[in-house]
Amino acid sequence: MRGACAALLLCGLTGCTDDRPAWSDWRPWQSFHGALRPEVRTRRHSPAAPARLRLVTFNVERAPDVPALARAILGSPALGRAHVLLLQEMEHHPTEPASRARLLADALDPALNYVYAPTRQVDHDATHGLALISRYPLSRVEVMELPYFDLHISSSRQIALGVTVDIDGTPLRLVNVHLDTRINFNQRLLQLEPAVALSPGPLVLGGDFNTNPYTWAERTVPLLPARSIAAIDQAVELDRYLEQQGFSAPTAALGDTTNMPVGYRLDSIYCRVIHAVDAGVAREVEVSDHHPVWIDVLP
Amino acid sequence: MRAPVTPVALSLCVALPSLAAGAEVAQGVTGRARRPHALYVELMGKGGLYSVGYDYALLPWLAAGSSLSYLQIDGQHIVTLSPYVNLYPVGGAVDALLLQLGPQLVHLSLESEVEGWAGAKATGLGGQVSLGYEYRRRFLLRAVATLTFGQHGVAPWVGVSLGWSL
Repeated sequence: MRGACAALLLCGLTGCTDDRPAWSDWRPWQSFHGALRPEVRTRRHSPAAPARLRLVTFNVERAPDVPALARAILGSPALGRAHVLLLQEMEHHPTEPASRARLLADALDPALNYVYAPTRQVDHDATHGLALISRYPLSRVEVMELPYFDLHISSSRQIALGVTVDIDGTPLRLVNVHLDTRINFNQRLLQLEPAVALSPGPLVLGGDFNTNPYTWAERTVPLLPARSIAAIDQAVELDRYLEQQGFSAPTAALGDTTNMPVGYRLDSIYCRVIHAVDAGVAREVEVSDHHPVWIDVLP
Repeated sequence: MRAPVTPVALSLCVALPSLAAGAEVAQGVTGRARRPHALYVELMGKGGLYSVGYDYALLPWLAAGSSLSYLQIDGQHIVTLSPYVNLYPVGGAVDALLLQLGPQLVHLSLESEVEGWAGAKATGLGGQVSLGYEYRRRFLLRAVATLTFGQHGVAPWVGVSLGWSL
């Protein structure tokens, strides 16, 4: 305890920086084995391309009640007509009949395609990870291990899930991410950087970027006093960073995306080359601690 | 090799400062009037993780001072300057209820460690109100609960100060 306190104080006085983390490249989903092997279901049939393609990112907070989640999605004017869902905090529990990604896809429409990519194992052989559900066929399903940061408490492997959806013959590349919470902004960029740099060309990047406004001491303690007086908005800075990488930020002006007493813009969608024509936050969907965020693009 | 701490030595360590403090009280040399200078390090508190501060007792019930903190965390530099007044509405010369309030100036500077992003800066002016306990002889101890407020909201926090009074 004394050592931890000394480390915390020393960190504050001298600064603590990590060496630049190593990058991993995209790997095909078939190259993973064991509990963290992704689960993929895709059909060959591609429906006709819509006039506008609706893409949604939604942190489903473990989706403990899949039927309620499906009802909320189908009952939402914004989500009911979505074509692709990028989902974070999806889970698979061996005591349940299938992964919650598959259960959700089936509850929405048994013809839907889906991927579930486990990020980590959780208690009793369950897994926790990212998912993507699509009306359109999936190809080039890949996973990237994102740079790891030791959070001292509840550290976790983080991944990016890359999927190409076939919109009636036109490929659309999508990347879904969920970044660590208790990292500072430079580390957040370092964690995201390989997924951006190693995904050239037209791209939709979405997910829970966890752009919270705090400075974290030792990736453990949020420095609340300074934040109440002066704050650097991480969501705005992430928009700026990605705009420098050639992205547009169609969800930048939508405000908070959390369904909590304290609101933050944690979830975003960015487009490179692809043109977004509309965007919104489905605040009527309250089954999670996040609200879904959506954009419409021209396929 | 370290010498063992005997029970006698331990007893002396505890008893001698207490006896000395008792003598001070008997001689009437304690308290803010006779020891108006306070120099301290605050853990957590106004600076977030730590700050160093000084204050001077203008009256038995009033002191004024300031603390300063500088932190560097993951490329982020945080400077917090906190001038304040201390009010002692209840209590004696040694133990007292402490009410501290004052403005706070915070400057954040975030250096980029990633190509393609220029970094960011922010400065804000807010305030803090702290309520707690002060123990003052030569040794100074303060333990407070703090509310910091500014344009981004209100934050609860705690702080413990250890220092000297002269």
